[in-house]
Amino acid sequence: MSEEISDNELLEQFRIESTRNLAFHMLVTKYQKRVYWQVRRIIIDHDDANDVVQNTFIKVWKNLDGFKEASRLYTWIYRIATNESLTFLKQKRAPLYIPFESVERGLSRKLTDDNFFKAEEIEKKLQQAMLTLPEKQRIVFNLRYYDEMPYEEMAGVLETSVGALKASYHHAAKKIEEFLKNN
Amino acid sequence: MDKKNHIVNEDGLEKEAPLLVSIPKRNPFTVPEGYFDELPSAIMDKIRAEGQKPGSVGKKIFWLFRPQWILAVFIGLMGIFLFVRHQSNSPVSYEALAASVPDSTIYSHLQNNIEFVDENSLEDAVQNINITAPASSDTTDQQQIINYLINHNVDASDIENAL
Repeated sequence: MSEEISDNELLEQFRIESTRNLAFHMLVTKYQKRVYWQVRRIIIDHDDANDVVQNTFIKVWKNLDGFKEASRLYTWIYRIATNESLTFLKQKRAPLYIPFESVERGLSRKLTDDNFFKAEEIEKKLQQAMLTLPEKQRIVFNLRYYDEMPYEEMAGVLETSVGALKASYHHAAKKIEEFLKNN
Repeated sequence: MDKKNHIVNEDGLEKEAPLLVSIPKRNPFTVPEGYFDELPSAIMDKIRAEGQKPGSVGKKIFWLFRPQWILAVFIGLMGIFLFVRHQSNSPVSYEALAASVPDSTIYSHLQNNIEFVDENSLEDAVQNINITAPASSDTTDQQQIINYLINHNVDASDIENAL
């Protein structure tokens, strides 16, 4: 039912103090799955993804008053989620953290150990292939391949040109293909 | 559940990445049961617990510019440190340094290195030092000289050797 409420209505209700909490609850209900799956595909682990998603919506809460509506609400939320995910991965690589394995290998290992990952062998290979991509390229691939996001919308999320995004996506597809052939 | 491959066709992936395209486009990730039912409430609880208010701009500005604040404080501290250090390292005059060296040390050095001492240089150096010579007087206290020589263990033969 909450998905029927328009973004404009949600924003209007949010700006009224008496209806703010309810409006935000409905906003979260409306977008939680899309945000969660976007984050999950980057972060891999459910518990980590849960933290990032919650941080994302807390940031949305804090900044929604200042949302200028220059872009679609969902594009804006997606952007916050992407930045939060990248920040999370950057923190994992922090200089003081001396890993015994790279972040990507750690994420790849989580695919095997994770109770919330149910995949055929070939699907697991695909996820491992995606983990070999640079982070931003992986995000581009996920948004295009799984979410089927138009490049113009993706440009708003990632603040990158359409041309660069297309190039990035095709490079990603080639690298994945190469990985699948060799493994 | 396979998704229709609109994007695959549109992007020409069938030719570029046939292996990739052959893999079912299925979501292999799952979530705990009831996760999405509880997530909105969990987020609202967290917001209430942190006392989060929308639009805390001042705090936001501070955290946005946190690296700049840190850099500004660091530069300020470095500036104060360098200033204090510079003040304490005031130049010391040669004469003041020389005056702090005991006579016995000077004498011992001269005695040991008399061969290497260039008398002309010594003479020039002495002329350049602004020392007021005591007024010569016939009534120079010879006893004072003798006392000096005795107090500093100067032997007559030492003087003879030095000359």
